[in-house]
Amino acid sequence: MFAHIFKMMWQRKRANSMIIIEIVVAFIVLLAVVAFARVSYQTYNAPLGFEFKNTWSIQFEPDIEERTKIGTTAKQTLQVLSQLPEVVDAHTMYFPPFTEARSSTTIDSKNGELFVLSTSVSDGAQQAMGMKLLAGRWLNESDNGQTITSVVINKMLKDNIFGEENAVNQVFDYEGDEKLRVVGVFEDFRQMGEFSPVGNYMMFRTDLDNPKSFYRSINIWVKPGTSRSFEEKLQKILHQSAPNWQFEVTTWQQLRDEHISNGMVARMIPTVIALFLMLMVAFGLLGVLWQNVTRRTQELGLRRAMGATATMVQMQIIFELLVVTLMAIVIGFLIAIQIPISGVIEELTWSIFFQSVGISTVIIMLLSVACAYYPSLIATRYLPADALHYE
Amino acid sequence: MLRVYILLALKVLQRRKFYTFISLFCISVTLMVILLVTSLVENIIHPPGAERNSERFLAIEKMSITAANGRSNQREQPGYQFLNAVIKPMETPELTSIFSTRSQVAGFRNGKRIKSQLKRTDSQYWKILQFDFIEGRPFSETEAKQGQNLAVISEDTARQYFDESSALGKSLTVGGESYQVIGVVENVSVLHWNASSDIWIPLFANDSTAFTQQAMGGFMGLIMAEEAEQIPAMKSEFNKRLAAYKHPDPKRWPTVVSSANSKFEQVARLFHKDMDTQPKTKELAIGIIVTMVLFMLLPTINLINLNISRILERSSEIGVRKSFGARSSHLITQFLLENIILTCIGGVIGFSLALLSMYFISVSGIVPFHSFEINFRVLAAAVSVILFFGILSGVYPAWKMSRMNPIKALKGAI
Repeated sequence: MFAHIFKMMWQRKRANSMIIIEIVVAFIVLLAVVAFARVSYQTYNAPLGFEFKNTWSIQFEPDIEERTKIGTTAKQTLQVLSQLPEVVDAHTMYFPPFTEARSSTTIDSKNGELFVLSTSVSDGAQQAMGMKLLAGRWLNESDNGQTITSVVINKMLKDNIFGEENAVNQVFDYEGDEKLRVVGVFEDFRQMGEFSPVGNYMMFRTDLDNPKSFYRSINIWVKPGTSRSFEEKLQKILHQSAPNWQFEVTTWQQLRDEHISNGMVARMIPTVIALFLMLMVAFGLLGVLWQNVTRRTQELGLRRAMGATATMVQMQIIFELLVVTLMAIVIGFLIAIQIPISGVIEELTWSIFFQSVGISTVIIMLLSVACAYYPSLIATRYLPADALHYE
Repeated sequence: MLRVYILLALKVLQRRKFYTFISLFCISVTLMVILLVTSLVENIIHPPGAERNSERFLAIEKMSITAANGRSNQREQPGYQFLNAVIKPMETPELTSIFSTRSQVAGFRNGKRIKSQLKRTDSQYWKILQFDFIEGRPFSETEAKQGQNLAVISEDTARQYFDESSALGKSLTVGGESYQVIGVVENVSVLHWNASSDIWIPLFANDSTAFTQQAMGGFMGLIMAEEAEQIPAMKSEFNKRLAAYKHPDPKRWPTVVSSANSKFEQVARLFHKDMDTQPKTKELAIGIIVTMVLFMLLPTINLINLNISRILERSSEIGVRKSFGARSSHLITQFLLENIILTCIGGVIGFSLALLSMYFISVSGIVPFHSFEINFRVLAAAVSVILFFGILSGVYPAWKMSRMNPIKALKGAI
C-alpha cells in the first residue's frame, strides 16, 4: 500500500511543491535547533574538571605604586585569610572561573596551531579544587628556579601535542624561543564554565615568594554551611590587611549560576522561536490537508463504495502526507549535510549530526501524522452515497 | 468597487473561521517576534535615556597587547594609564571621560546582603551621558579629583537602601567603604553598558590611586564631539595617538591594539574576536536582515499554502465570476486586497501581542531596568513586514487563481 501511495504522490510532486518546500524549511530549522541543543548538551555534560562548591573568589585591584610590594601584600593577605576559622584553604589564580576573563596563547604542534587557555595557581590549588591527575604530579616547590618552566596540561592538549606517547617530563615549544616542561597531565579544567567549548588548557605555578608573580584573584575554600554574610567580616579583614586595594567578593556558585542562566537564556530564545514556527507549520498543514480532504469527497466516497474500510481511507490520508514529508526530509537532509561536509562548525561532528537528523526526522514525522489525523478522520465520514450524489 | 471588495473580504474571513485563525496566528506571532527584535536592536543601537547622545560619542572599551613573537596575547578592558595617555590629550573631542567598568559590590542592610554594580567615574562622564536626576546632582570636577567619598545612586538602589525616603545626604556603605549620597538618577538599562550601573563614585574616591599606573584592565573611555560629523576626525586622531602610545613594558608588549567605536560598532565587536580588524558592521547589518528574512520565510510559505487552499475552495465562485467576464486583473486585485486586509488585522493583533510581551519582559526583570520603546523606525519595520507578508503571500496564489480554467473551476476541480 505504501509503495502505491508513494507512486501516486511522486506523480503529484509538482502540485505538492509548495508543501514540500514548507516542510524542507521546517526540517532545516528544526535540525538547526536540535543540533544546537545536542552540541550544548554534549559540552554541558563534559566533565568540568573541578569542584565549585564552598569556594569564594576575591578579585582585587592592587595598589601598584610600589611594584615590589604586590607579592608581599598579597601573600600576607593570603596568610591572614587562611587563618580565619571559616576558611579551610586559600590559593591564588589569574582569574576566577565562570567569567569571561581569560589568558590565552597559541602553541605549534604536529596538528597545526593550537589555541590554549592558561592560568597560574599557587601550590595545592588543584587538590583544593578536586582536579583529577591522570599522569605525573602537580606543580610544587621543586619547580622553582628550573631553566625550563614546568607546567601541567589537560588531556586534550596532551593528545594534541604528544598523541598517544607519554607526556610527562617531555618538553614543547612555547612562544617561539621558550620551552615548557610537562610534569603532569590532568583531566580538564574548563575555566569558562559548562557551556564553553571543550578545549586545550595548561596551568603554571604561581610562586608566592616571588614578588613579581601575577595574579588577580585569591580563592578561599570555606567550611560547608558558611553563610553569605561572612562577606561583611571578610571585607573588613581584607581592608585592614591591604588598605589601598579594591576587593570584589563573589562565590564560585554565584558565578556559575550567572554563567548557567546566561547560557540558558541564549539557548531558550531560539528554541521558543522554533517552537512557534513548528506550531505555525502544524496549523498550516492541518488547514491545507483539511481543505484537500473536503475537495476529494468524490474520490474517497468512491473508494468506500468499492469496499475500502474506514481505516484504509484514514491510512491513505496519513500516508500521503508522510510520503510528502519524507520527500521533504530527503531534500532537507541533502541541503543540511553540506554543513558537516564543509566542516564550518567544528563542534558539529558526524555522530551529532546524524543523531540530530534522526531526532528531527522523528519529530517532523510525528508532527505530520498529528496534522493529518483530524482531516483523515473527516475523510472516513464520507459515504459512498456522497460520492454518487456529487454532481 | 473597493467597498464591495472590502465587505466581501470580511465576509470571506468569517466564513472559514479556522483558516482565518491560522492565518492570523501566523501573522501576529511573526510580527510580534519581529517587533520585539527590532525594538531591542533599535534600543541598543540608538539608545534613549542616558546614552541619548550616542551619535556624537565613541567608546574605547577593549584593548589587546601582543608580545614581540606575535603569539602571546592578552585582551582586556583598557587601563587608566592607557586611556589617560591616549584620549586625554586629544583635541577633536569636546569632552573626554575615563571611568571604570562595572564591578560587583555588596552592602548590608539589617544583615541582608544587597548586590550592586559600582562604577568610578570622572566629572566629564556626567556631561557626555545625560542621566535623568530625580534628586541631587552629579559630582563636580574638584570633587572627582579630590577623591571625596560621594556617590550617585540609581533609583532602584535608593529604594533598596532607604525605602521611599529621600536618599540625599545619607551615608551608604558598600564594599567596606562609606559614601555620602549626593544624587539619585533614573535606572539605566543594562543593555546600555556605557552608562549602566547602580552606584557611581568619583574616580579617586577613598584615596585610591592604585589604578593610575595600570595600562590594562578595568576601565573604559568615552570621547564626545560637538557634532556627529566630527566622528571620523575623532577616530583618526584616536588612531594616531594610539600608534604613538608605548606600553610601560615596551620590550615585552611592543604591540598595543585598541579602537574607538560607535554604538553600532560596539555591538558588532561583540561578535568577533580580533581586535585589530575593522568592526564588522556591514556583516552585522546583513546578518540581522538575513536572519529576519529567513525567519519570515517559513510563515510566508505557510501563508502561501493556506491561501492556495482557500482559493481552491472558492473555485466555483471564481468560475462564475470568470464566466461573467471578470478579468484576471480584477480577480488578482480582489484577492490581494483580501489578503492585505487579513494581514493588517493580524498586524494589529501582533502589535498588541508585542506590546503585551514587552510589558511582561520589563516587569519580569529578565533584562534589568530595560524599558522597551516603539519609535517610528520600529513602526516602519512593522509596517514593511506586514506589507511584505500581505503581498508576497498573496501574489502567487492570486496569480494561480487568475489562471484557472473557468469551466473546470465551475465544476469545482482544478
